[in-house]
Amino acid sequence: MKAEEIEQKREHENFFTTSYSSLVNWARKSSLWPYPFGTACCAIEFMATVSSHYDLARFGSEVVRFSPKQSDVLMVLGTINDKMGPVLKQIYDQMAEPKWVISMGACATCGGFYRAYHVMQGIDEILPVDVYIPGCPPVPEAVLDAIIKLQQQVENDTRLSYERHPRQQRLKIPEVDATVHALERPPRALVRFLEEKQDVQGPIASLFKERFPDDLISMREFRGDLSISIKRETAKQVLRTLKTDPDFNFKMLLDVTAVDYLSERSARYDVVYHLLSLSNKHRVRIKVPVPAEDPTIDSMFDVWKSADWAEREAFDMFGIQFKGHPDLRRILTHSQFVGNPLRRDFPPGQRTLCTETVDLPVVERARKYAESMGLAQPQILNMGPQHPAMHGTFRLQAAVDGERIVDADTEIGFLHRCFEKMSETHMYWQVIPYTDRLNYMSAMMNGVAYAMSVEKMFGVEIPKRAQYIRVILSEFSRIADHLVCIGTNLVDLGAISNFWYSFRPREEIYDLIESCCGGRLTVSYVRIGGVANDVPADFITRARALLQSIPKYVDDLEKLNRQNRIFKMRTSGITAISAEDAIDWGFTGPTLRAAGVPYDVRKWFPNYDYDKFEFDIPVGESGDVFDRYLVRMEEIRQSLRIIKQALENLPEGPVQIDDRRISLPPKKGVYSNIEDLMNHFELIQDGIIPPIGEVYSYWEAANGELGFYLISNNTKRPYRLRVRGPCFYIFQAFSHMVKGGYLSDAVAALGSLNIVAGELEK
Amino acid sequence: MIEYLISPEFLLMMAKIVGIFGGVMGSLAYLTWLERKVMARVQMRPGPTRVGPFGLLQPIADGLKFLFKEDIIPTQANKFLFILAPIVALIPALLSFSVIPFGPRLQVADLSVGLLFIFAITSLGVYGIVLGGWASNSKYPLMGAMRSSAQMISYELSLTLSVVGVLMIANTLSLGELVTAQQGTWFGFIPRWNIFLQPVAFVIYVVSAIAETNRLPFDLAESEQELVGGWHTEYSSMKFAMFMLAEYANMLTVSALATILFLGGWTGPAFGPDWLRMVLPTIWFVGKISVFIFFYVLLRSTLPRFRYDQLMKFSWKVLLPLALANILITSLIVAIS
Amino acid sequence: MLQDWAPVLVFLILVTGFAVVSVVMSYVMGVKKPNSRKLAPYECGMQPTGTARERFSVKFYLVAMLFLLFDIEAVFLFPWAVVYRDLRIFGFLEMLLFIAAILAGYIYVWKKGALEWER
Repeated sequence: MKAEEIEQKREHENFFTTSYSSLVNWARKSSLWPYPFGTACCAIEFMATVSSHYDLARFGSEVVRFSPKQSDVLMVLGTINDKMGPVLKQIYDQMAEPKWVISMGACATCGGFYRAYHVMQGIDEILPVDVYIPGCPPVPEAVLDAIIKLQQQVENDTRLSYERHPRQQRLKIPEVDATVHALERPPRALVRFLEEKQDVQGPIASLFKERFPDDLISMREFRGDLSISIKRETAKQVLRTLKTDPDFNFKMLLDVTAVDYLSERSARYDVVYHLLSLSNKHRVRIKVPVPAEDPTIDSMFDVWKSADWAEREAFDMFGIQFKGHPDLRRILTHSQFVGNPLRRDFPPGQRTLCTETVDLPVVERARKYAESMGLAQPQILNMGPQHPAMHGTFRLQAAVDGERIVDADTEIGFLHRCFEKMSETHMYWQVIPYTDRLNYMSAMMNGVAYAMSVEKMFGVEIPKRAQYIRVILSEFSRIADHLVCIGTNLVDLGAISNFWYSFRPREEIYDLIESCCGGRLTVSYVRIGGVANDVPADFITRARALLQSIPKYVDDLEKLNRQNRIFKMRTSGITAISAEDAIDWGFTGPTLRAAGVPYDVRKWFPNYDYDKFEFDIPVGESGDVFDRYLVRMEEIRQSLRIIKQALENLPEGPVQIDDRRISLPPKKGVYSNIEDLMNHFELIQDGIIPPIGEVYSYWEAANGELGFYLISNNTKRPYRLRVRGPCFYIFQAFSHMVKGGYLSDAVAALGSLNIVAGELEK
Repeated sequence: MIEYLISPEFLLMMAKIVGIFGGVMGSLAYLTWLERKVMARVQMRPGPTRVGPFGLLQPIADGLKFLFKEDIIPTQANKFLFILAPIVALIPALLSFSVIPFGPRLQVADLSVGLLFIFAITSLGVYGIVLGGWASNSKYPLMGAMRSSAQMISYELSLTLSVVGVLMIANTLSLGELVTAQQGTWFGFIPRWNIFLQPVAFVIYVVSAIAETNRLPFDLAESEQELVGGWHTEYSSMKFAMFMLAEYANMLTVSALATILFLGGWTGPAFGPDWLRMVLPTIWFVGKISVFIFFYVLLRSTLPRFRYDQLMKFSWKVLLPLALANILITSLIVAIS
Repeated sequence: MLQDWAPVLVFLILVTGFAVVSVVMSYVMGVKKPNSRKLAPYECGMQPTGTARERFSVKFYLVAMLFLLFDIEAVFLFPWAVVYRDLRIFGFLEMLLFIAAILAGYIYVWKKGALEWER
């Protein structure tokens, strides 16, 4: 506003109008009810701000309302991508005046470090913002500061009846300043490595050669992973035999993905299947070359149900058609997206605007079914992305009949942040912060799993002290993750105080992790070859103090809920799943263990001295919501046991491996001799450069087996990094699990599955 | 006519009406404050503290903010009913305070059918909810309104049947007389409260009351986690505030009824100087109501909510037969003795 | 007798006035900036599919009718309870017959499954 306009306004003011406006402003600022539009990690820090440690309620702002007409401040918490854009705009437009917008975190402010094809570079592309909060994620004190700043803004505003900002028009798609604008071609050495035929010995290899001599193209073993390439035409029969034949018995399909080799190879794509046999603990990787002229392959959906969404993702990302798939549509990117993003020749920053939201197939299906049976048209209910029970980013469209869900479909992709493309455009150690934001409830574990894959690629083992530190902090992160899952599950059922009881111990865990590395939620503490720095001197005492205090909080939670009749009524028998179904859908982690299968990577494929620790694996019976709750509670206690043993045996030593390919040389050498200087320069300039290879490494994250499939082309950037997120395989079963049940049961079930959007949608 | 309007009875009546109305409205506002503070303490945190000392000005800020907020009437809504619904919800909720005895002579009107009047008026409150959901013409509100109305009428049955036992003992429908009948003590120290004579009825009454007022664990109709806001999703500004006021007013009414019927209303030991003796009954009354309110808030903080079918089953298959059995047994005992 | 109701009438006028004044005040004092999206129904940020005037389950009507029957019973029980002390055993037996009739109906309804809220 110009000075003359301000002067004019001041002239019309008198005692009555000023005191009236200050009264109105006082009322408005003292009662700012937020609409938490939470999508990602920042939402967790907002939840921490509402928790008892920081308590946003002191400002009168704890009444979070999920109806836009009843709230005042739209708080955008987390990355907004193009798919979520229309939803955000709609919610903003539906809010009652006067309304304000707070943009929390780097992603909502400017896209954060996701300079990619699907991420909006700041919500001010579509909304007017009042307060920006920097940070990734900002600490809760920053959120409180933002509320105070907003209150000051409201207080000093002299207008009473106004529309805060004129409607904004987006004029053009903003450019994405991507880190790398084009990716390099795969080198000859990589292609030669992949096509190399080795003579592999081993039980699976020899059996395979016996059974399928004609279908086999090549077989190799690298760093303990068996990799078999087979022909496309007979792929389905081979895979079906691998599942059903008792000698192989690969009952679980862990992952389906694809890799693009451009025209360096005659068959441009490789469709990669990772299989696991639970009965004899074997793993195998099956690769099927697919040419560019005819990018089709048979769908494995009728062999393993877990192929359902994984094949849709490969279709979305690469454009490979899966013949026979029941519903081949885009899954992560929005319906108007142009192109197949993970193709090697797709520019990482090429965005497509999304302007509309679509109906899911369930609408057509339900309508046709009702017509064919002569019933009334079903009512379609949309529990859309912004819904408190949906934890912000999933959409369930259900055909309901009164209370019962007759048919349902889920839609994801509202937090697709292009992790895999970002890992192709960044150096190996630059990927570590991206991994933190996968499962942001337990950020440390993602970093550990990723670092393990690169260390496996080098073929090195990290020092013992680093291993134990990784184990201790991972187990603390696991406890934190389970606490959030239990707290939010109970809040969805109505028992709201559990949220505060479960967030309180998390603050103490955060304090411990913050003393090690400076970060609460997203830690970036792991480095390839160890951890960033040694733990502080009082680490063991603080950790031991935590071991005393956490069981008290967990006992409080138990006392509130274990014997609670209403809780049992709401959770027993709800969405029970059998062990065979769970394995077929690709479940891992607490949801699989609740169904009765004692599969835990820490016990079956132990690493980092897990075989020396004494701990039990809690296994449930029926796989219903109650069992999942019990499994998670017990896992918290078992994790405490592991931490206790690890603390007692924490060895001394370095925390970073002494390998010149990976770690920086000591400063003394850098300043005195030329070799160390050159080594230092090259490591800083180019980062680490692993040898050519492909590995799949896996780790028991809080939700199940977190796998990283890494292909290295001997340059400073990964050629392909695929993350096998456990939530992806759990959530695809959700729409099938809730059919026939009540709406309330769907809400209870979703909370118990602990679907974390970062991991689900990468 | 004019003489009546300035006669002392009329002025006294007006003073009582204005006093009780003002007191009720003030306590409704501070009920929200109390709820937020108690829930906060259960959850190990301070609650509102910044808006005035101890956050005491918070309800005023909330109310004023609502007044100045934009009033949205959705295009697809039925305009007349949309505006009527919160009025229809609020009027019966507040009207029931006209027969509640706050003290020996502190009652707006001591009707001979006071109890029946309250039950009749609170039944009308269901209309507000149904109209609100229907008028919004949107799926979530409609589902919430339907569920809520079915729930409220089902629990109304057990609510009304549970007090029949008390009526048999007291022989009157007038609230003032119900309270005075509970004055005095047995054996010198046990007060003559109906809770000792009708414990089962008390439990049925309290459970039904919580369900009637749509509070946790029976609040599926407005559960945030499932239906976003239930029947008031489409409401904004003052109309929304009126729905909230109506809910708290209902809570206050059923708590007041519980104390009148079972805990002796304003009766309690009288002591001290004259001015103290005058206000002591009201203090006892308010204290007993506070116990119930505190219980309400504690329940909200701790228990998960019932699923809808479990809720309805509980009302029709457990509470209703229990209330009927209570009537039969009480009548048998009264007939024999 | 009608004198007793006069305060109630005054209270009713006061309460109605308060409610109406609240609604009017919020209309007058509130900001007014409607746009088409604000006035559209809320469905979690998506466009809603279908109308809200769909058919809903007949169970709601059943509950309403059952409520009516039992409420009539309650209405009869109230005056009976108030004068019960004078009626003694005779009153008890009369009411026993009445409640038995209602209970028979209740058991019939239970057995028929009308109280099952399975939808």
